[in-house]
Amino acid sequence: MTAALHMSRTDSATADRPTLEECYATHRAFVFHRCLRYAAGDVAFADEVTQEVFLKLWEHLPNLTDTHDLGAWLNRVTANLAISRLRRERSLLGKLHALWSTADRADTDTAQRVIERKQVANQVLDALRTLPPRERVIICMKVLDGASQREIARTLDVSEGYVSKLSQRALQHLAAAGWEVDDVER
Amino acid sequence: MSNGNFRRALLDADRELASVAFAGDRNVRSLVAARRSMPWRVPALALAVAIVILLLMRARDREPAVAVGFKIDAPASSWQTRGDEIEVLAPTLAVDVPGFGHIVAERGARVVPIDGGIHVVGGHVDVDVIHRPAGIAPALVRVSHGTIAVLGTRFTIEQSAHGGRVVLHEGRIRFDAGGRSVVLLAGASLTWPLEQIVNADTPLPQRATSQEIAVAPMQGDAEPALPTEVTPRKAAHLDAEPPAEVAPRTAGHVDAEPSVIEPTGPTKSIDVDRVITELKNLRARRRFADAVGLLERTLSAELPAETLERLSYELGDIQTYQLASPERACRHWHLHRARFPQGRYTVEVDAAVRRLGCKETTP
Repeated sequence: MTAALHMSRTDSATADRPTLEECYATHRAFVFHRCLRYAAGDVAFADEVTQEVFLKLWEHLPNLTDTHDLGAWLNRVTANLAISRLRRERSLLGKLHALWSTADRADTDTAQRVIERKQVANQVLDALRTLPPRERVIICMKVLDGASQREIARTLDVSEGYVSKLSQRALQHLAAAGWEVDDVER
Repeated sequence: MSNGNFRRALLDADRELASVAFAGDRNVRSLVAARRSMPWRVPALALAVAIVILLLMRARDREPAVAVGFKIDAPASSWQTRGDEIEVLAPTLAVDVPGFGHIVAERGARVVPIDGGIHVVGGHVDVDVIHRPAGIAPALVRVSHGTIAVLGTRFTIEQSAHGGRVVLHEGRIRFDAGGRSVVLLAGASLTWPLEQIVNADTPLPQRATSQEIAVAPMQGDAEPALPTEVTPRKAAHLDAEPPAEVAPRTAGHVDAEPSVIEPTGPTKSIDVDRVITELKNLRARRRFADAVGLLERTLSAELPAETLERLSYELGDIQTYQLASPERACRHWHLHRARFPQGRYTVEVDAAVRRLGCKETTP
């Protein structure tokens, strides 16, 4: 049934519209990497959010008017889904769900294992993990993507003032934890 | 203590992250399929937990309880106690009375255990007394205006604030009230207080279509009196024919025969009121096959069309909803419709036929 549904969506796409398989092949690494950042290295989390992002794409692809700027759409969806999921995982229900889905995660690796010898990398990811979801994503966008406050605000659909406030708070938190953050634009 | 430059450390860490392969690199179709099933897990788990909790609560609630001398195998919410009294809150409640028998009481009935039996304070109660060996004192059912000494039988009591009535289904009972004693046999009924019935001009209190018995005071006191036989009559005959009177007994008349009232009349005549009571009784006991048998026997009798329709409807209802016997039920509804084309239960019959999925051509 899923396949049939998939086919009908593909068939309804216009000639120049990419199929889901094409989008997936082109953007999955990008999306997964973004997810890994926001998850501070949690591969299982990144895997699941990546799947969620492409599920969203599958749902919206027939209605997307501008598929040429798919990267920006995926960036926005990835950030928002990551924030939602990080928030959910912090809740009691999320912790119960984590217990329930332990079996699913058993076969996946963790980033810590891959980079276990990178002490500093571990430390910075630990520091990132202590930030609330939205602050974490803003700091990643700011530091790793070099995104401006306006771009971040547009991506997350919040005001620039709010981005500034969260950014300040995150940087204060990191500074208090012993990190030098003077070169990060406030 | 400084951890170092945050920006530099984060960029380094990000480069490491970039080298991590996408573990979930699967076919996009299986990805979509897998994700579609994911959202069901948490609600399914919550639902399963809720069902287990509900079943556990229900199982606990259904554990047989012993209250004021009664053994009750029903949810605790279906009854309550007030001092020595138990009051029924459910539509019907089956109660075991150790050493006495079994009662099925309807909502609002209030019963108290007494030495050797029960006291029906109010309400409708069906009584099924266990067989008592010879030489053992009879089981007692106290009502507002006397005591019923049960000689091994099954009967129904309706007790109101001002009086009551007993309908005897099986066996034999004796009603003792003040200086009187009356024995009833199966099929008979008796209304109390007795004084109101002795006067033939007094209208019958309720269910006047049943066989009612008019009894005069008898001689005697505490011991059972043994008066002459009295024939029960149709209630409608009470005005035309004076009730059989029994002489008051004296204390010395202990050895005399009790007054025995037996049902008479044409053997094939049907007391519809009694059938309905019996039907209610059988349904309350979940003896649906017996109820069907009773209805089938009754439907072969000559009765008014409205009564036949009602009984026919009851029969189909039991076959549809209790016995879950679709073929029989469909056949019955087909015949019912043919017999009562302009029936009063058309809506209910249509609903039953729809539920069963009966074919219109079912013979």
